[in-house]
Amino acid sequence: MSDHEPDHNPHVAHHYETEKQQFESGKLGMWVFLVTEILLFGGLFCWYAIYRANHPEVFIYASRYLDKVLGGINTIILICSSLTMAWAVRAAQMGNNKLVVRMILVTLLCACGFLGIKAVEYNHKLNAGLTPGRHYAPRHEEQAGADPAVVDPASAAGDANPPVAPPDDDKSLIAPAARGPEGLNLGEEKAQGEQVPDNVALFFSIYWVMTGLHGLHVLAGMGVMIWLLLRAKRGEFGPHNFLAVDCGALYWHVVDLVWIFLFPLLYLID
Amino acid sequence: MANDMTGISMLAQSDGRFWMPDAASTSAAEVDWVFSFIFWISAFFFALIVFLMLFFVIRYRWRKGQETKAMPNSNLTIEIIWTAIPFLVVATIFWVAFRAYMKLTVPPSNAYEIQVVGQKWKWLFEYPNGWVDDRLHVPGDRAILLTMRSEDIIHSMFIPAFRLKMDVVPGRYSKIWFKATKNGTFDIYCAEYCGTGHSDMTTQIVVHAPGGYERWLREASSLLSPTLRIQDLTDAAALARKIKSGTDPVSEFIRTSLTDAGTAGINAWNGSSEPNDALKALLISEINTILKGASIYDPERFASVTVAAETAALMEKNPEGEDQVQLNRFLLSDAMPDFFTRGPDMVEAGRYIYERKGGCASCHTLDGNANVGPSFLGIYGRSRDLEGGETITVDENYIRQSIIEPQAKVVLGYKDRSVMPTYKGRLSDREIGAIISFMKSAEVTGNEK
Amino acid sequence: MTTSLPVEHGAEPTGTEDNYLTCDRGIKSWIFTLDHKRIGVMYLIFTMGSFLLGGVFALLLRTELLTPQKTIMDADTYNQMFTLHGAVMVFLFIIPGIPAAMGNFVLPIMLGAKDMAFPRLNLASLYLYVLGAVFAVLAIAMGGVDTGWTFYTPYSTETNTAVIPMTIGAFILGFSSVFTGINFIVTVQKLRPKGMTWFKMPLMLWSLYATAIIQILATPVLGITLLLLIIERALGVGIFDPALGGDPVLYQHFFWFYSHPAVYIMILPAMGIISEIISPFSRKHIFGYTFIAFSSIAIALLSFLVWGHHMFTSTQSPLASTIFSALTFSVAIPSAVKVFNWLATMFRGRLVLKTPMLWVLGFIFLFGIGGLTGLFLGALATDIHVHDTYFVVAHFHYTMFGGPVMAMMGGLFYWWPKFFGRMYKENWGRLSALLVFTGFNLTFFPQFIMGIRGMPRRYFNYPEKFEIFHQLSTIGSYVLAFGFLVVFFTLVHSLFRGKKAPANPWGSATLEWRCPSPPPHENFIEPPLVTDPYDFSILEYDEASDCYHLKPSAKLAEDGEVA
Repeated sequence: MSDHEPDHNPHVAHHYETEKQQFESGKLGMWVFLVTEILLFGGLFCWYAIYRANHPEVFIYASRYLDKVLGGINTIILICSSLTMAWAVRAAQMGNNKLVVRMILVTLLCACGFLGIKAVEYNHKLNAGLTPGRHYAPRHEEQAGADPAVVDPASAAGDANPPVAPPDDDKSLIAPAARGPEGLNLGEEKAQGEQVPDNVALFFSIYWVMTGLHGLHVLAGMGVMIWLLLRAKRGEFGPHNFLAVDCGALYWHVVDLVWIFLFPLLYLID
Repeated sequence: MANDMTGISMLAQSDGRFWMPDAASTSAAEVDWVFSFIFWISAFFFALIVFLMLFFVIRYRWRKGQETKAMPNSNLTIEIIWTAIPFLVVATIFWVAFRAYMKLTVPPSNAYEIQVVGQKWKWLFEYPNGWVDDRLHVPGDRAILLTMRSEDIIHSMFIPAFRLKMDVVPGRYSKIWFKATKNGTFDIYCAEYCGTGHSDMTTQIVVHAPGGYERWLREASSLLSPTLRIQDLTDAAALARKIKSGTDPVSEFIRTSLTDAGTAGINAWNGSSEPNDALKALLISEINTILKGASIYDPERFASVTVAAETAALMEKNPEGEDQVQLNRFLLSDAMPDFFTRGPDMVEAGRYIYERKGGCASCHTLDGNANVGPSFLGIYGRSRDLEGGETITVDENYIRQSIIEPQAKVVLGYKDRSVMPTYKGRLSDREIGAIISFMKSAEVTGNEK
Repeated sequence: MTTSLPVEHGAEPTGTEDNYLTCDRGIKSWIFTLDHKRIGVMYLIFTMGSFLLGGVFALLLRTELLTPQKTIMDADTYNQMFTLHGAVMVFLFIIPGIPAAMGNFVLPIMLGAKDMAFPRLNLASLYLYVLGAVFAVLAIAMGGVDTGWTFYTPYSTETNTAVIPMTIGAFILGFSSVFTGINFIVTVQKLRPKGMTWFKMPLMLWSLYATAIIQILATPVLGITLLLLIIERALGVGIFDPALGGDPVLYQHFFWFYSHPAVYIMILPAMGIISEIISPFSRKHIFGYTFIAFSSIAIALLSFLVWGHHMFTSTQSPLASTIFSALTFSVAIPSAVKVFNWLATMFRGRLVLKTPMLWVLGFIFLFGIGGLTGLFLGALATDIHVHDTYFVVAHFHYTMFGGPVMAMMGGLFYWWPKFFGRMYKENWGRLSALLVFTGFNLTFFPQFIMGIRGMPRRYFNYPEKFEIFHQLSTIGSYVLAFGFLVVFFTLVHSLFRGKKAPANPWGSATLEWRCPSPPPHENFIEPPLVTDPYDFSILEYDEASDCYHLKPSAKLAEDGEVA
């Protein structure tokens, strides 16, 4: 076959010589883009690592406010969605556009489920005043049995598993903040034997920013899926033209992967 | 170097050096050596590159009809050589600079420590006895350790003559040390950009000859003290005579309160000659002991003394601490009006705090022009509109509150530039009082003429 | 891919066909173009506009510094001037200048490809650039920014100026840069035509490839850093606020993790241009091709390990400073290797001192000073003294102006005939190079002296002992500006009055000179014959058309080889 015949393969853009060249370029481009995504989140993970090393007690204390069950369900949802997305790629390769539509729909549903649960969690945090930085103003009124996310971990853990005050060498080397967030009623807490570390707000800053940026990526991924869905409905994909689904799936796997790191790092500390 | 050329010598520094400024610390000599080392290596390589370049330009200039003869396009040996040479050169430079860096980074264990505070746009230096000044005074014969912190954002302490620089970061302490090798005054700059007044955040370091630092610190820190200093004595002979032989109840009281050394010293004096420095110092020490003791007031003892209104007013407040000492000084001054002054000049002390310790001058002018904060000229007693619609009269209470809680009541129009940190715990009540006295003085209220 | 038998290699251009400028007309054909050349030209116009803007800021602030106190503006305005000068020059001019403007134009042609791998992404990158620039202009309109182009916290989180629009602008510009980088990497890896092996690529492509690696790996970190700064400023999350347990110095680590590699985004393509010009203008094969090529990659990788040398005085631990200092010196070696190889290329060549070559000679001189003064800054003991003084200002202008700007001007005068098909007045070009070189040295050399003597940077008021140097510097900046006026008039004049440019006026052997000037829409009518990019023996000079042509024997040899 001659490469520069004017009657190009309709799936190949004018500046590519062959279908293979176009496919490989697209794949490489996507991988390079994903590298930049990893580095984008890398900065946040770096931030996390440094502050966790500086203030381990903050992370141990504050992570108890996160709901492991909801987080765990979300993890499973995302892993399942990665499976269905990979399935969609396979279906596109085989030219089964109907199956592509179905699989992407399931993936989309999973994404909605993930964001729904995330919204519930965010709502709890907002109601409990567990907001980032200088807006941090936790409220403890709703105690006893109401919501795991709102309950003071000291009482939630009960006697069986009393919160352990961090050993001295685990403490931050930085002097207590000159102006810390109000509202935790530190004196009372300390009197009860529960040691509330300084700068708890830091954890929630990290929590909101990291899960927030991840959530934005989920939203972007849903946008990509809707676009793929419309193309699949028109029956565009086939053995020679599945690059878009493939790249969309790669992106979705990375979004999934980021969450798989976020979940243990934020929820499963203590 | 190169100062023999007239054109360039005009640009040389007063000591004839062209590049580095005056060197006044032990580390400066080290750094200058490293600088010269790198300088000559760089100069050599630069000269080599430019020479070769110009030589090739002239020698191999293209001429019509000539074409290049075939030549090898690469040569591994040459490449290895000119990779290895820069490697060795930079490795040497690294090592030399690292050695000097370790010397200027690790402070000796016996260094004399001074605390430094950086804030917009002022350096403050806290001396071991608690005195705060806006200039850095150091003894020239000791290693000095500066422990630095910031009140607001990042600043950087830069002393060119000592080749020293270190950032001052909020939330942590940073340290530098030096040992001066020259007495004199050298510049200090802020080297980390910090906003509007960044380039005005400059001051001096004063390196004192042996003994000079201690003398300076003693005098500076007694500025506000109500105890007696040598220069407060207006008639030492009269005072000594009164204590030695006075018959009034106050003189008797002093005589009986003297320590053994004081009694001996007074007795040894002939009663007529001008007291020498040792005796003056002894008198001051004795009187200061009395001033620092309990209240010397006793209605009988002071029956024949005219107590000034100022004294009476202070007495009514049942003062404590330094004010109690001040009361004793007033009482003693009332009893012996011509022998020594009544106490520190609060207006002068206020001016000193305005200019130095408090650093007020960097934001508040005295000429009526608004700077970062409102001008102090004529502000006392005036009524001002505040942010939020309230109106207030600038009185003692408002000034005091503005110093302790600067953001509580901000004058209208200053909200955006209000960067003043709180002085709570940094200025004593007495010091705030001095600032108020200064602001009430004729010069600042503008009622001079 | 099966072997193909190209009908006719390297067809000689007749000069009558439509080129990329004329093949399509109307404003829409530019706004929605997917042609890398048009995108490159638009980038060129926008970056030059930014250069003008940044230059005006520079002249204003140099004028302010004529006297030790206030001259024409107050301290706050001055602070905004140097911030805007820095931000505009760095984010809007130098970083996109060579890669996005020139790289976009020449990369596919030099490679022998028809376009970039992702033309739409390329256009998106331009749109993002414009959007980022709009935000920057918005920030200026909203009262400017006074943080310095580095946006150091905590100052940047508490100043009242328009930090958020400016950082959003820089964030968007970062993504523009990332898109360009993705395109470069994929194009170089996947769109090489038959015969274009890695080691037959012109060195410019190696440089752009190395640049793209940095753009990919460093820019996202800048993105997240600026994003955190925006979040911190808008929501007060306490990331960099010590009062909430944050660490302001962490910002500096994040920032320099990007911004140190970013200086190599600026200098690496510049070095590529130097290699491209120095060989044909010496009429001699480049010396040490592989070493120049791999030194670019080495610089790209080492650039990620040295960011801490911006922070020797930042309260970073002395151990970290020592390690960063040692690593910093390692970057000096590949740079030195390049300079030696360029000199060796000139050795026993036949140096043609036309305008592009003069800029290259200027580059070697200025970058030599810039590089060598870097030794003082990499060395621990001396950096403590000269850090944050005018010495640093002078150093990075010698490297960032003496490097990229000199090279960019060289590249502009070198490729100008290719870009627009017109020859400029040779002597005007030479004069402009001379003026810029002189003005530049007069502007920035005095700053070395001031800096060593302790003049801190970003000072509005300064001690009187520095006045004479500031005045020299200001006069120099006027000469420099005049030099650029001459550049501007020389080039614009050529567009209207210039002689028509032949396909290969300089006798270069790289592929872009095989297609007509200006190139047609898809660059090559027929796939070009890939040869050694620095083998000039295959060319012959044709006096009648003042143009170099491929010798017929070269074509025959290649045809025979393929057959």
